[in-house]
Amino acid sequence: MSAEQVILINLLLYLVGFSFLIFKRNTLSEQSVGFLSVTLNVIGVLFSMGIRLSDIMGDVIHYDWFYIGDTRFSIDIIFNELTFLMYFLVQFIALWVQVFSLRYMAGDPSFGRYYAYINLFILAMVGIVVSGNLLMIYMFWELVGVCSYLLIGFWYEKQSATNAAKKAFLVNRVGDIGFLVGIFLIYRYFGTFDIAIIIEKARLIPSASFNNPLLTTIGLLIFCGCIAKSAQLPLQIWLPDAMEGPTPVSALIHAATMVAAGIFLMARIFPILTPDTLLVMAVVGTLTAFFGACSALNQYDIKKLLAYSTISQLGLMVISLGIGAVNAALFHLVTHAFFKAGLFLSAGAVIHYTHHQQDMRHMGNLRRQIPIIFYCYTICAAALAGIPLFSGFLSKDAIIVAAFEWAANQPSQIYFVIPAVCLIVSGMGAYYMMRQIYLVFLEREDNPLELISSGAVSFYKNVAKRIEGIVKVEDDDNEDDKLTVEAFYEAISVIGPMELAVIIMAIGSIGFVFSLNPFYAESSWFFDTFPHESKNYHWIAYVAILVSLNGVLLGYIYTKEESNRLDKYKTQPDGFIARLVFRNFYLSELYQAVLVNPMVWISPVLHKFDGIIIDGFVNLMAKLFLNISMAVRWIEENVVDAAVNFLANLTNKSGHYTRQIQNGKAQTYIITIFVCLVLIIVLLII
Amino acid sequence: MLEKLSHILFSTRLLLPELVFAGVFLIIVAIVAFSKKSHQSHNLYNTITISILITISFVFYVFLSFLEQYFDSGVMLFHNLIYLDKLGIFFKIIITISAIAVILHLWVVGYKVVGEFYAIFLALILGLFVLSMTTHLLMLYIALEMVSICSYIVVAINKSKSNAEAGIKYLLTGATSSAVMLYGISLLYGMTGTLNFGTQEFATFLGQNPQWVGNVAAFMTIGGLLFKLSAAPFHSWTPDVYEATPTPIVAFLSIAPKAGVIIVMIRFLSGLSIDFRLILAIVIVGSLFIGNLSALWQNNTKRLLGYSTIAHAGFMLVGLLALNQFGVQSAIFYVATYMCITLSAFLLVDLLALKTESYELTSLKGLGQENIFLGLSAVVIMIALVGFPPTVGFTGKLLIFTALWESYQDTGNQLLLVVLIISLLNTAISVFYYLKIPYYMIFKDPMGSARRYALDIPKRFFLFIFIFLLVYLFIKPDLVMTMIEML
Repeated sequence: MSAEQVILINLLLYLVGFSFLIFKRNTLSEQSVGFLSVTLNVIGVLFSMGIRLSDIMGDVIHYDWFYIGDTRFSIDIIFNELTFLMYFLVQFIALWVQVFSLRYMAGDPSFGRYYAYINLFILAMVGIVVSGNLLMIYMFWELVGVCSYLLIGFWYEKQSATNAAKKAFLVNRVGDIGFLVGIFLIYRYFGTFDIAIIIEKARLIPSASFNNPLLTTIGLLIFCGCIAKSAQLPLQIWLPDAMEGPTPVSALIHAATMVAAGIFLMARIFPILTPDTLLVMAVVGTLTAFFGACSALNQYDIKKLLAYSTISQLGLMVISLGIGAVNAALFHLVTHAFFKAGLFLSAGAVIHYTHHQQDMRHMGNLRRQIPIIFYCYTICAAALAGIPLFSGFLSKDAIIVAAFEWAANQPSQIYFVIPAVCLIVSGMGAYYMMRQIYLVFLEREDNPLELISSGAVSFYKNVAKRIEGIVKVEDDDNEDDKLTVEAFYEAISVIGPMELAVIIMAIGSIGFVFSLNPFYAESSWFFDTFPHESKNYHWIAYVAILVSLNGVLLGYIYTKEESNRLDKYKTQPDGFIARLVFRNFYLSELYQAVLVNPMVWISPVLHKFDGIIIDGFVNLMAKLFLNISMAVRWIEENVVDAAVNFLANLTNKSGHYTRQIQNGKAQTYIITIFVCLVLIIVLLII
Repeated sequence: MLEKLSHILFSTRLLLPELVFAGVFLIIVAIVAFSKKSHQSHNLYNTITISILITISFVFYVFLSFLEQYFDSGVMLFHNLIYLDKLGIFFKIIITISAIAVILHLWVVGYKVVGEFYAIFLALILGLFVLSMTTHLLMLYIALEMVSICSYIVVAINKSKSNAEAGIKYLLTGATSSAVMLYGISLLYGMTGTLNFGTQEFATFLGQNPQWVGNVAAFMTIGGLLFKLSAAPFHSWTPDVYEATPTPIVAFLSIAPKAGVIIVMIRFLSGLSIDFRLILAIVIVGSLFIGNLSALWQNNTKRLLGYSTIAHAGFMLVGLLALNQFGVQSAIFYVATYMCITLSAFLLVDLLALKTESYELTSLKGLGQENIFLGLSAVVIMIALVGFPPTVGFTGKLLIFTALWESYQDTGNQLLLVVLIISLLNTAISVFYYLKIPYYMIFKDPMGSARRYALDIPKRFFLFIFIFLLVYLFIKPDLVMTMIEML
């Protein structure tokens, strides 16, 4: 089996899964739905591993699709390291999200529909990843948007869910229009949709004329698609609302994979982006990262906080693209996919445990009840916060270092704002993750730093032992730690699908998975495949560590103080700035006032105009035609119909006559034959 | 002597499928005679017959592709008695496929027929095979009689009064037309001194006679063929037989003998050295008018389809009237596609009758509302019978009319134009009665309380295959057309 067949079969599998499940959504039991869907996904993951072994890496495969005139449109599949990376990542994360959902969605009346949508989503996402031309990417891009819409509005009985779904869909339309126009311009400029050819042609453009306005426009228009899908400023408002969907969906679509599609797209077409475009991207990314992190600081909702943190991290990736460090951005995409999926899944487990309570102010002390979730959550949060030994540190460090190096090469000192903001955002990330852990998991009067450190150490031991297959815990001398051997056994025994999925994500967030030297990103296998040039600013890494640790410390101190004065029933914090930050700078409200309300106001006016003037004209014409047709009808009835009726009657009568011959008597039949025979002979003789 | 023997051996080898057929005929007769009668035995017969038919059609297909060196220009076997070429094999495949469909129809709808039927049925097919590979008038007559006699038995096999009546009528008209045909053959033999109408001498000698003498003799000769084709003026048996006989058998009679006759007509007309178009035109016009006008008054769906086959016999001959390569090809195409259409029409009528237990049009009221699949199928099949897009019926009609128009442009013969106009007129007339069936099913309100009517999977699947073919061949007529162009 060749690799393109593998991919085709893989896509077909998900299509079959989707159609079968949507068709049988009400008749199949939950077990069979889950089994079928997870099996398909496991096959997909195995397939994606198989592709790595085949020898067509780096090839582009074309199939004819259709012709318009002499212009050929083809279906292109592009294979390179990037394809493989995303191909595997999407399916791997999807697999564990599906496993997680087995428990999380159990008992939901629309269980089958949920899995059908997930299958469709994986199909679309894999479609984006393997597509080798922009037209196909756009198609799958929209399909992904549809899946996102369907899954955000999954519980469509809830008004807020349908509103959020509509909002996400409409906001994405705004960006997609830019993307589509960008695609058209690319076709005008390069004469093809094929990415490989586009990049080849872009390489041939002399560097002097490379930074031309048209190419910049193209880049910016395509970046519009990225802005909407990857929730960049000013279109990021849909992502926090998207948390109305089921939590595993938030993990899969709105944290790990779909929102990363924008980053993926920009990385795909990176060679055609002009310096001006890149600068705009860096600025937009900076603003997004900063504003997202600000809004995450004082959220109450466990998922909203994660959503804002996702926006902030996506901003970091866009910065990385903007400064030219594509592979650092991809590296952060991968690590972020794991730890953010882990965080969301853990949040889902927490929400499941607390019976759909999402307000962090009502949580606390969950460390004891769900220890496994707690430790996994801590690992993932540490990764996000950029603590050494965890994956997030490696990728964030790579981005920050690259940003400093980039700024140093720029003509003006003002460019150092961007790396500085990166550092600040990193510290803020540490702060809000600490705040969340404190509010959700810790006893309000505990000393968390000690708990986390000791707990984490013992958990590492336990994980290591479990991997080695040793169930017995030999030394557990940490007496002041509350986790006893019995508690550990108990913890092991409650590992279900949810815990398993979270553990896998947590393992993926540990630095050793990516690099043997957890302090030095250059030694990771990732940068072996995706070359990332070495640089001089190694001291930045230590600054970053310091900033992160500071963030953690501040987070702890302030949250402890905050938790004493938390009003559990307030809808928003006091103080203008706090409120501004909490409401995400009132962007949604601004759009409501500037765009939506005038639209709502002007549409009745237009309707009235339409009703009176245009309809009036049309009605006048209609009356005129009516009168003409009355006249025509008279002619029709008295002249044409009469003729037709005469003919029809004639036909009918002659039919009656021919039937008369058929009177059922054999002798008549035979006589008929002979009469006809004689008649014909007579005719011939004459 | 040795040469003759080796020629006979060679001929026998090429006739292997027919020999197998004869063998199976004997085997089935033996099984029927010596096995215990049980209510399950028809399943056994169905299985045997279908498997042998599938095998044979496969063998034909293999013949078509592997033994090309014999069939490219045709090969004479058994000293001119048998003439085997690709065209014959193609028609044999058509006949076999329709036979398979008919047996499946019997099986799916659940007819229980006596074992003898299968033996007779196989003999009928064997007769059709012989019919489709001869240019010898004697052989032709024998094959035709074989088909006819088997048909009489098959029609009367149910032993009820109406069956017997239909069988007798069939037999009487058949015997008459056979007599006419024999007389015609003897006239032709007298004129030409040869019985093989494919030879050059036949054409030369026939051309030496006055036009009308040759025409009368030829017309009488094809009388037997027209009888099997149910074309005017030998059509009169059709409605009675169609009404009384079990539907699958009718479905078979409505296509297989006609296919056999059409190939003989193609060969006969191409060997004829006289202008035969006038008589052919009369036959066509007569068939079209009698079929379509009489069908207007029918209230019985099977009788209606009976008249419709008379009209379609006329349409099949239209392609031959063009007397050119394209005309012959489009006639073959018409026969091949008409096979799908007529088989599906009879299947539909039968499935409807399963519910209503009557073939009256009025009993169909509202059935399409109760089972929307049947309603849609009725629309598609009837549209195909009329010859509207998007069904293959349209393609077939378009091809034969185009052929006729081209022939008219080439020769300027006014007769062809008249026939063309009358054919178009009759297509318009046929809309009225064909669309009655879907009209009753979909627009009339159901009688009494609403009845749910569900078909089981095999029936639905079987009908769906036909519907699919009707639409698919419209989109891709090349599938059949390339094969026909190869002949």
